[in-house]
Amino acid sequence: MTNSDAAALEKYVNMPELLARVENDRELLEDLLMLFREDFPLLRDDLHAAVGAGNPAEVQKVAHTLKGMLANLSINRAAQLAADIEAAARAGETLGIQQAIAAFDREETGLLAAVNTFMVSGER
Amino acid sequence: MAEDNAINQRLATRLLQKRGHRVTVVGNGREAVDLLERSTFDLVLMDVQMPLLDGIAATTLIREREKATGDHQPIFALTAYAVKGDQDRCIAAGMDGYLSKPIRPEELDAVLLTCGSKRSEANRSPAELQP
Repeated sequence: MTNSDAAALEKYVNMPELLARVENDRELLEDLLMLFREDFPLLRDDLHAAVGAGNPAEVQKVAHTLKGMLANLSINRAAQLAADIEAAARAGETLGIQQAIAAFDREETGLLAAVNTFMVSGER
Repeated sequence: MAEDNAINQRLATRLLQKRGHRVTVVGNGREAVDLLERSTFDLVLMDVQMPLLDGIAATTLIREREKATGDHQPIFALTAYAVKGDQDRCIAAGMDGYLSKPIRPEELDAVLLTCGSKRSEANRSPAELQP
């Protein structure tokens, strides 16, 4: 793992906070990031599908799940944006949902790649 | 622990195991209600938003059943909800407390301490409870 791999991840993840949460257990950290690599793309797709179907209840549910997952991994900006989507969906604000989704999409672009690079470099 | 998200399951399970606890995980409120029909646990961490049956509804069913038995299963909400009204909903449903996500080890320790203290008190004989 190189310093630049860690720095790329730290653009998204509050690493000191996350390491405190896992009590500096590197094996647990890798397990969590591995699960994230599997689950995040599916939830992101579910979110877009719910928006496309015009289903605010489902948008709220998926955004809530994303918020909890991201917050536990200290991916804090994306977690806040997922909370914004959840709030807009709860209020039934169609425009608010679209704006919040756009902000979330901008934030998460590059997140998965940074996690992948961090994981792959750790396996070397 | 009743929790449907794999990351949250793994994190909480590992932290509890490191503290010497054995952990049973179910993925929804229905499974939690069914399991608690035949088992008791020192503590249940109950997510609020889950498929099939949410944590509030599951706790309501468990508390309803306990009216006949007189038992009391300690249940703490495990949820990303952060607003006071949602905590109130959990307590109104009969939960004993609240552990917020993201999980913080020190908050988990505080919950474990609370449950341990209550359990010790419950296990003391009436004579021991005399002042």
